[in-house]
Amino acid sequence: MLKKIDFGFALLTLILGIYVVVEGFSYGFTAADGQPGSGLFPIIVGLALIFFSAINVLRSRIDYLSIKEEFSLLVTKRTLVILLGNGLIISLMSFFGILLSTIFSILFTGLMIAWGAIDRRFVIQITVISVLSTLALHALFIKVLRIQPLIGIFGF
Amino acid sequence: MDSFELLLGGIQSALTIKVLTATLIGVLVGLVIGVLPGLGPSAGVAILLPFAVSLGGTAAIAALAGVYYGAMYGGAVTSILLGIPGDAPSIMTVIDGHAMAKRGEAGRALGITVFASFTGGLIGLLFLTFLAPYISQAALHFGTAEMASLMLLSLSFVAVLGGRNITKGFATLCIGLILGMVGLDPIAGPSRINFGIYDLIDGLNFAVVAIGLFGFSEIFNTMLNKNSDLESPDMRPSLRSLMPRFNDFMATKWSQLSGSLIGCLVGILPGVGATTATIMSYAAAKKFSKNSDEFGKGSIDGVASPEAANNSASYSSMIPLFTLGIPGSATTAVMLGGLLMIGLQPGPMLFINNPDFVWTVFGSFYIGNLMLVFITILAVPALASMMLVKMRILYPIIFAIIIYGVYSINLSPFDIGVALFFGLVGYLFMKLDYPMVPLILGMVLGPMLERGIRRTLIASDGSFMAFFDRPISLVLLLITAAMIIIQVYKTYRKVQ
Repeated sequence: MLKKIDFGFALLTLILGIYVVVEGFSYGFTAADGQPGSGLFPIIVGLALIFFSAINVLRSRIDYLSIKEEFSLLVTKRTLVILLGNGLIISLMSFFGILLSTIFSILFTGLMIAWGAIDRRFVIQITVISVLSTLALHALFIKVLRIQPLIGIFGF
Repeated sequence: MDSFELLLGGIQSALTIKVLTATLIGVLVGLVIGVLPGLGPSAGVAILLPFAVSLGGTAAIAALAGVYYGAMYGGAVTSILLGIPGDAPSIMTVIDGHAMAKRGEAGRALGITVFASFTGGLIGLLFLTFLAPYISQAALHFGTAEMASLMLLSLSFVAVLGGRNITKGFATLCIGLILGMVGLDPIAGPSRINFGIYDLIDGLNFAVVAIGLFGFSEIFNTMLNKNSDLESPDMRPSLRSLMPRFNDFMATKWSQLSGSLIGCLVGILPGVGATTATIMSYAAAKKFSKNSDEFGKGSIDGVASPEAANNSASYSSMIPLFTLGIPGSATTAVMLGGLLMIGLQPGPMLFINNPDFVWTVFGSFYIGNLMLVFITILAVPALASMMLVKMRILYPIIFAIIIYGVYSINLSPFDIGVALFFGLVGYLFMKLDYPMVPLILGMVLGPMLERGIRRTLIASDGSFMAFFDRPISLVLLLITAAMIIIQVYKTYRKVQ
C-alpha cells in the first residue's frame, strides 16, 4: 500500500512540476523589455521538479530504496476521519467563532487520539480541559496580545 | 577612549532599575511569545513596540532587544518539545532537538540550547561591539550576485541534509521553492502559482506551512500510531532527563564556536539573516563531526551549532541596523521603527551624535544575554516536564494552541485549513521518507534567491556570466557545485 502511495505521490509532484512550467510560460520567460520575466524562476524550478520527480517515480517502481513501514487501510481511514473532522470544524469557524470551534476541535482530537480506550473519566477530563485551555488561550491571544477574535453567531 | 572603555561605561549606565526592568520584561514577553507557534521575534517586537516606546531612550531598545533574544530561545523550546519551529531560524533545531526530546532527553536539549545561545549571543555581541563599523562596510561589497550565490550554497546543503534519499530531498526543495513563489511576483507584480484560489493571491505564510508541516504532522503521526494510549516508555522521561547537563557545554564547544562564527558572518548580511546561518552551521557541524551519523537522530552538536548561530546572527544582524540604518531582518526592521519613534536616526551619525545611547544599549544587551541564561536555566525543568503530560491530553491542547497561533498570523481561518493540509503533507513525507526541512528552506530562501538572480540579470542585461565574473560569487558557486557532486558521489557509493 505504502509503495503505491509513494508512486502516486511522486507522480503528483511530477504533475505539479509540469503545471508550474506551463504557468511559468504563461507569465513569460522574458519581459517585454527583454529583461528576465516573472516566468523565469517558475520554469527553472518546475523543470528541476520534473527531473527529480521522474527519478522518484522510477525508484518507486523498481524498489530502489524500499520504504520500511507499511500502511494499513484502517490507518488510512482514520487519517481521513481526523482530517475531515477537523476540516469541517475549521470550515464552520466563521459560523461558530474561534472559541467554540477550538473547544470542538480539542474534544474531537482528544477522542480520536484515545479511540478504543475511551472511558467516562476521560470524556469528563477532556471536556473540562477543552473548555479551560480554550478560555486560557482566548484570554492570552485576544485580551493580552490584542488579536482580533473571530466572532460566531452566538456573539463570542 | 577605546571601545572597551566605552562598553564598560555603557554597562554601568545600563545598570539602572529602569533599564534592568525593561530588559527583564522584554526577555519574559519574548519567551512567552517565542513559545507560541506562529508568533516569532518580529511579531513579539511589534507587539511590545508601543509599550517599549513609552519607556523612552535606552530602556525602550533594551526591552525590544529583550523580546528579540527571548523569542529566539522560546522558538527553540517548541522546536525541541513539540517539534514545531517557532520561527524560521529554529527549523534546524527541530531535527535533533525533537529527536532528543522523544528519547527522553528534553532537559538536556533545552539545557544545551541555553548554553549555546549564551555562547552565540556573547560572540555576536563582541562582534557587534568591536567590529561593527568595519564589517558593515565589507558587507556592502556583497551585491545581488553574491547574495544569490550564497542562497544557492545554503540550498545546496540539502544534499548534506537530505539523508539517503537525495532526489527526494531535492524534490521537496523544489516544492518549497514553488510554495515560496505563490502570490505576488516580488519584482514585476502579477500573482503567480495561486492554483486559482483567491486566498492564495497574497501568497502563503511561511509560519502557517511550517506549523502544519511539523506540528500537525507530528500529532497525526502520534494519533495514528498503533500504540493508541500514547504513553510509550520513551515519552516518559525521568527526573534527571528534565535537568540540563553542564558537561554538555564543554562537549559541544567546537560546534558552538563554529556556529557562533558562522552566525556572526552570515547574520550581518542584510536580508540573509539567521535562517541561512543556522543551515550553514548545522551542515558544517555535521560535516566535521566524528559522529556525523548521529545527526538527525538526536545529536547534541546538532542542537548546539544552529542555536549558537541563531543567537550570534541575531546580534550581528543589528550591525547594519546601527551602523548603516539598514535592517537586516524583519525583527530589526521593527526595531528600526522603534529607534525612529524615540527620535533617533540609526546610521553612522548615531555613534557620533548619541554615543552614550549606543554604548548603554550595547551594555544592556550584555546584561540581557546573561539574564536570559539565568531565567531559562531555571525554566528548563518546568518546560521539559511538559513531556510528562499524557499525550492524549497534551496533543489536543497543542492542537488548540496551533489553531490560535495560526489564526493570529493573518486573522484567517483559511490559514488553519492550509496548516491542516500541510499536516497531511508532512505526515506523508514522514511515511514516504521525504525530508521536510528542505521544503521549508526552499520556501524561506526561495524568494530571496529569485530576487537575487533576477536583479543580477537585470543589471547585466540578461547575461548569466554576471555570476561568474565576480570573484566572491564564483567561489560560492564552485563550493556549491563541489558540495552537490561530492554528496551525490557519496550516496551513489553507499547504495552500491
